[in-house]
Amino acid sequence: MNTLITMTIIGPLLAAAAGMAFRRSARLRDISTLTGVASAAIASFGMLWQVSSNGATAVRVGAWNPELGIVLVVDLFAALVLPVALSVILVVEIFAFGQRRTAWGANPELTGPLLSVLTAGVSLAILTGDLFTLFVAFELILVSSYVLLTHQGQREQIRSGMTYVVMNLLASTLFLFGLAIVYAATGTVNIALLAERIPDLSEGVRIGIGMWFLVVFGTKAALFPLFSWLPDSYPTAPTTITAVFAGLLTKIGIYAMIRFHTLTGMDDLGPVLLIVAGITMLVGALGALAQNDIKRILSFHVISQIGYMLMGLGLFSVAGTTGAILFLVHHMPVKTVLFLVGGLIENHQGTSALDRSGGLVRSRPLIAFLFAIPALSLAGLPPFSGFVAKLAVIDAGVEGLSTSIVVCALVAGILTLLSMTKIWLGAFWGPSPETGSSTTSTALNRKIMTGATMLAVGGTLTISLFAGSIFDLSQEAAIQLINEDSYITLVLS
Amino acid sequence: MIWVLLAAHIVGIFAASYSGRSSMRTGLLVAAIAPALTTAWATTQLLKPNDTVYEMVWVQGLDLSLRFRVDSLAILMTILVSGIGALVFVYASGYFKPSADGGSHFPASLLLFSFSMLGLVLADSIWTLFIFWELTSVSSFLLVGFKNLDVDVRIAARRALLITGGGGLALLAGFLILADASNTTVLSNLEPISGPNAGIAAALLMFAAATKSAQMPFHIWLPGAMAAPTPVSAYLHSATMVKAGILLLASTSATFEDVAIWKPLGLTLGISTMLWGAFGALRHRDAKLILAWGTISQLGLLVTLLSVGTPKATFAAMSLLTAHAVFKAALFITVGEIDIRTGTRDIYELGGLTKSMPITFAVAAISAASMAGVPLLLGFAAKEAAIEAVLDLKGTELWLVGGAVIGGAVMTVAYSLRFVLGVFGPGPQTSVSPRRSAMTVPAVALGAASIAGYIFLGSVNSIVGPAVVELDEKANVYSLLRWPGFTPGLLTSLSVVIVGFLIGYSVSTRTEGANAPTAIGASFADRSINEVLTFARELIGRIQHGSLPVYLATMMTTASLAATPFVTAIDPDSLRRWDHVLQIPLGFGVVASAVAGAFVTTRLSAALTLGAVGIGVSGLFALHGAPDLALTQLLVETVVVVGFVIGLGRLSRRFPPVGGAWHATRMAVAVLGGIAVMVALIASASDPTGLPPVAALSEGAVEQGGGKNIVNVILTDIRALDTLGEVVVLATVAIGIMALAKSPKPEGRKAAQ
Repeated sequence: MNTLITMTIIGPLLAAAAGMAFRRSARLRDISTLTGVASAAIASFGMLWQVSSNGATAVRVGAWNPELGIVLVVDLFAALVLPVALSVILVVEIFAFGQRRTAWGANPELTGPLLSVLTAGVSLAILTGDLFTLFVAFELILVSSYVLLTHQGQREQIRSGMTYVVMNLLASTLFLFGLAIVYAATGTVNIALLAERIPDLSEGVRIGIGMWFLVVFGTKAALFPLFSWLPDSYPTAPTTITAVFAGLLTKIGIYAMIRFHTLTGMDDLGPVLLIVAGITMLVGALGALAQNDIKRILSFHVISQIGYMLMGLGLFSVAGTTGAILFLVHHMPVKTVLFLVGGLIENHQGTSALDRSGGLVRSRPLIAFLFAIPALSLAGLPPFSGFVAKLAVIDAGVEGLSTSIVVCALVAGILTLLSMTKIWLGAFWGPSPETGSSTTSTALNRKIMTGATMLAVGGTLTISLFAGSIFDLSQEAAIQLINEDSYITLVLS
Repeated sequence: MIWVLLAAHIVGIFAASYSGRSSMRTGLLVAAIAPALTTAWATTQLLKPNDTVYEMVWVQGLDLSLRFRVDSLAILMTILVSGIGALVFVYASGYFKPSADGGSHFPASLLLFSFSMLGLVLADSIWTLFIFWELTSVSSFLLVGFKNLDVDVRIAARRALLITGGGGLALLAGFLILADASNTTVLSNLEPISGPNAGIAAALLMFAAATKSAQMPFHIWLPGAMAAPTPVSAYLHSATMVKAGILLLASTSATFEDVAIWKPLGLTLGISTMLWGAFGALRHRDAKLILAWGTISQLGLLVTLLSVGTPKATFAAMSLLTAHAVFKAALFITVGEIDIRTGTRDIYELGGLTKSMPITFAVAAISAASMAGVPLLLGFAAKEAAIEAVLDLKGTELWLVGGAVIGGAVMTVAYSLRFVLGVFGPGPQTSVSPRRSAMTVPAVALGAASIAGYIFLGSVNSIVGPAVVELDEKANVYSLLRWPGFTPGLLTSLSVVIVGFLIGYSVSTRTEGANAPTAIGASFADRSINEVLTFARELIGRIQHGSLPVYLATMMTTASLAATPFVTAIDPDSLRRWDHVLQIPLGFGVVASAVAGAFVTTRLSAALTLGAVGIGVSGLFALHGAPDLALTQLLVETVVVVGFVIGLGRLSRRFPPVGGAWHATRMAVAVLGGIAVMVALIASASDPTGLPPVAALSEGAVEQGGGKNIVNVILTDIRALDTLGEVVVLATVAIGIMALAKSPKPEGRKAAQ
């Protein structure tokens, strides 16, 4: 297990360093960064296999006891989310090979190394059992994503990057305050110890801590009313970058929230979470409807879908948490694929604006097919993973008698369907734009990009197909989170 | 076997998509294979009564499985769905030119629908039903929008999808409640349920069925869906998909028999739809729309009969459903042929086709007569059963339902006659292009089925009878009668035909100059959709305005509000005023510098006040016995201030001015944030449940870490991973700065694109 963990955290960092060192040789640079991410992804599948067959493991970094040092915890929740997250990065990196030589591509000298840093940050955030290390992981993710967002130096990117980085830095500051608060109240930042000590705090402090971290993680996860950084910044980045951001970043926020709020027993916050979840779903979906650009529409759906995961968490039941985890696992690849298809569209016709698009069903039926599957999945239609995930969450809502949130979820569902038809009507149907394609890519580039997208669609279909097993794993992970004892024993003994 | 057939459909979808790339006709014929095979299989199943269940678990934890049941009802529906499907594919291969555009996706989409509908009629679990139900909506959307170069077509497709999709969500919710209340997801195991939840589930399911089966007021998508190519209209929007709601009602009506609202709701929907639909069919002049409104009316009749709920009415409903699928598909097919061969569907422009299109005329006349319930045809026997069923009712119900059904039947006869006279009757001699046998063969087959069904009524009974028994065991005593004798029922239906004939004749002669009625409902639906879009734009314009300071203020206020629970936990006794007397001046200095920072107007003084805050803080560190921390902080502050001063040279000296009210708001938010953090820290320190492991740290640092400076050991050993992370953060920032410095000027970048 130690080797696997090293491969997911240190491996990508070494790859990033190698990538920077080999700046003169494109081939060496690409090989080293791709190897770093690929081996991390493979290692993460190894973890899933180990955890599901031999049970969870906790590793004490430097063999320091958990009261002092850092613990990395590979429980089922982590082992389930990590492979999906890293596969997403890997697929996007392959896509980037095709895209980078076109006008829309990101700077290849930097994307590889920075995506590797991002990979390390994501792995660390998912695996850590320590709140301070989580802060460090968030920093890693934040700076690497900020540089990825702005490194092309376009005016629009710098402007929106400002919103992105300033809001997220404020969230980091609030996170630091939160660490101080938690440390003052419990004398530790180890999550297992917090799971022991937070429930014993006076009600005001306990709820206060829960609320404070709701704001911190909620900003990362782009909940209402803290999401403003997202729709402004995401669409301006190169598609590959946005695809990673959309697939992962907010999900790390909701991941942290699921882990923290379940383990520390914040059940009292349920109603607050459900209200926020309902508003987030609806506002996100309405936001998507207000847009006229594929990337902007999809960006708002990132927000809306987070609402469903928060809804699952807010029910604070095994069924609800199962739904939230399943939704998380389903959502990461689906959202990424949608952005990748957005990239294909942009590459094909030179824009992602709907009013300058059209006719792709005729001119590029394959793109239409590749869009349709994740779009239906996003709208929660069967037989795709999105349906199973939505059913799991809504079923838990019905079970928990939370009628109003169920109604919100259903209304958001129809709004999502409406905005998917908006993309379909605008980009795929209707007359083709007169200007024609402005693509500068070669046939090989197109093949790589399409191939990577097909791979990702295949991934989402695999998740749909094995939704049963993934549900079982999510349920087991949820049980481990809701009954925090197994986690505490795992880490402390 | 079911799996093989379903798999054959999926393989067929890809095969059709591939072979359709070169020629639409090949694609369609390839697509016809799977439905043809399925029909053949279903026909063999007719002889042996069976009741096999096929199940494949998908998600155990949610009771989600593909569960199919092959019983008499499923066989009957399979024959209708796949049989008509196969015919429609053949028909479409004549309808489209071989070189028609869209061969790569039209046959595939149509087969996708065929697949979905097959799964729907075979489903034996609510989730299986739901999965295929939604798939039919999606494939219908793709097919309605086939001619999507036209904006009206796109809008119509969207309208249909959203209405049926909304119904789908209601179905989802209804099924969840139903599964919860009845503890099963297996359709054939559903037991009657009651209670308030049952009422909600009933209403939701009724709503879902109404959207799918085009009941008032949700019928508005169906006329719009006529924008689809006619093979699609014949198959989806008359013969099969619109029956999905009917099937849903039929298979759940036993479950809801104790629910008070079920029957009145169904009767209201059914009767109003039946009458309004028939009225619509009498008003329109597009032959296809006449048929579409006729379909709406017939669907209303089916809902009415199912809501009546007597075994006899259920029997009549299923018989009518069968007869309707046959004659309506035939009628649409003839209209499509007329459209292709004459170039119009307007009954005021058509005429004299009896001679130029004799086969088409024969099929249309027979099928329309079957629709009108004229004796010696399948439709007659079914209509007769329906009239018998409603005449059996008592009291108010007899008058209300009986009157409505008979009125609807009269209007049906009228619009059937108007259709035939309008299209084929005297009028301008429309010029006609040559016949295509691929279109004629399916038309003749379906037209002949209406006659054959009557001649071999015994066989029809042996198929429909057991199917109805699956729904209602008490229905086994009923069968379709070739000639009922002179019962009140027969006399009623004969007079219906005569009266309807007279009305039909009169409306079809005096119609010149009338315009097509406007689609009020459809434009209302589109307006509502647009209003949602406008609302969204206004709302988001207000929320996502792009002003970073406002975002930050929102965020800080939210965080401050989130800290309110801490207020209750403050314990004044736990407050220590100070540890060291020097903390007073230092603390005061920090606060004063921070406040000053908010009021200064030049950038330089802002940098200096912030520097003062940092230096004050490092003093506080020093007082706490952390000289190295204090030193680090001091260095950082100095470097930052120097950096600021260097960087400021490029910016204007003063901050841009900020308006009074906004300035005050910002101050308030800042003060609120400060108070919130203070309150949170005081509260959290007042009654800790654990203390920092100071002793363990000192011991561990020396013994295990081998260093006497605890901070160093923490940074380089105990929490080395965090340090590594922060080092990478700094390196990444450096890379980012480098990249920005080297990146070309924005203008140059734009030109490169």
